[in-house]
Amino acid sequence: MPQDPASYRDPAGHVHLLGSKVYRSVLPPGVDHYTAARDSGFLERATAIGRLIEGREVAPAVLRDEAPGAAYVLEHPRIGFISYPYCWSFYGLQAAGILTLDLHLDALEHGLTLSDASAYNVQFQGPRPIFIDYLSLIRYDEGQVWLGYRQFCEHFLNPLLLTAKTGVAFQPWFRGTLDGIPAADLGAVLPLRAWLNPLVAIHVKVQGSMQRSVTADRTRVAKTVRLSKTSLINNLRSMRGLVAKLKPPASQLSPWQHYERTAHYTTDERAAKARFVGDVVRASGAQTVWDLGCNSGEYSEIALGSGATSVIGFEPDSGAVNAAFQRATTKGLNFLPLSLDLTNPSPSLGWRQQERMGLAERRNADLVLCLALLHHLVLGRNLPVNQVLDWLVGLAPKGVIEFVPKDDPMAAQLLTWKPHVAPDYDRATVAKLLGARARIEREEVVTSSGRVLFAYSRQ
Amino acid sequence: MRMQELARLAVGVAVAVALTPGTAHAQYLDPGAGSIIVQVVLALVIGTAAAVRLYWGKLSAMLSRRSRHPGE
Repeated sequence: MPQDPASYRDPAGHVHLLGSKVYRSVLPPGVDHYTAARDSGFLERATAIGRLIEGREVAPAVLRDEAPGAAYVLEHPRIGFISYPYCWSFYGLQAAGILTLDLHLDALEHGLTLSDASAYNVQFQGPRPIFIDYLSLIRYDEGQVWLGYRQFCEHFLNPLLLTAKTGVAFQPWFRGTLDGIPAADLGAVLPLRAWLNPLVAIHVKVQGSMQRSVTADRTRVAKTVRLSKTSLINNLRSMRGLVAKLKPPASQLSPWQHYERTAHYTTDERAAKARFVGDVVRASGAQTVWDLGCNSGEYSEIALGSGATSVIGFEPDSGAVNAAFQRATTKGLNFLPLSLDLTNPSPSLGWRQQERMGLAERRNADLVLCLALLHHLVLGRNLPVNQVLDWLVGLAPKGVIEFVPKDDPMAAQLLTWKPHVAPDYDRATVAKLLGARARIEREEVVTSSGRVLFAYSRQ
Repeated sequence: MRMQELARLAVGVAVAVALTPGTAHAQYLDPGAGSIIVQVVLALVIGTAAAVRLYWGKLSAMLSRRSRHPGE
């Protein structure tokens, strides 16, 4: 994969993936802007404070075949797991939006501006967002408006407003459009009380109606409009204030009602489960762990405390994933919880279906945790046990699976209206099917209700 | 918000809009004509609000002085 399939828009340069290395070519249209950013000291400062990914100039000859016209080539550290805004939590998108605005405000002090505001220019290291696109930084000329303003609204402000003001999750919509939520579309669903905030009215209502009726006159005016630097800074600060004040709706803040990972354990049982998970992670030497159905991240934290260096969590419940993000932020964990239903994982999307990678293409786990999830997949979603085990064993070389028996209260609840689902779902069959795919290294009953933990290793 | 800050915001408005030809930039993104104009609207609203806050104190002080001395 010589050129990253997502890196085709900007003529200033491209990202190239060569083996395990990540390079960025700076082509003639981007040279002046790149050198201005470099010579202003901004790149050094932004990387030093962790807002911008590191970039080291290397000999352009490394891309002599891929980018023969490159004036400069930068080498970047590889991001362990690429995540996309349609899988970020509310707090994740908010943090990425604030980073974009802070970076822009800082850039203006160095005579630079952002040429765009794509959420895909941000990646996460744990819960910490980091800006990755050097070529978004261009020289600022006095009077210039922010040409990335509309994109900022569509990628950050509007999705956050949707969730904050209506309670509707932004992620499925964002996954559908890939380019965020247009102002006019958001305007059609925002409740009346949202318009009481004049800033919301301007960003959404006014912008939506202006975008709908583009005339030649309006385009002519837009081409001549100038905005003082002070006004541009005021606008950015105002947007930062608006974004930072938004909160997830009550439905995404209340503690998860079905907090079964802890609710159905006695203190001793919970300790036994934590010990099992910690022991297995420690013994495996796993660096990267995927916590499937991570809930608020309790076992992700245990994995990190047991030798793992990073955890990616997947959780469909918006409230739980927000709680997990807060856990990661407040405790400084290298843990990125993502909003995802594993029965419908994020697919390959965009141009040629290569622009945004599907989840399977982004596998990087040394070990997966599948705790209190198997029964949801098999009993709740009717997935055949053998298929689920195939998938799990294929995800990572090692793993931990929790088996919850059918008569456990949580499993029984799933079977209320469909008692005959999954006749082969029992401990012996799960152990046999898992044993056919992997070596079971440890098996332990951890609750009086008969929940069993299996630790396995791919053969 | 400090007075200095408010004054800075208000000054920003004064120079927000000047219809002079724009310069070409290394752009690849369509910024949307409507979205460009909205940024000026936003700057005007933010600046006006700041100016109102800046002078509100003085204005209300003046009005309250007058109401204490009717007929002046």
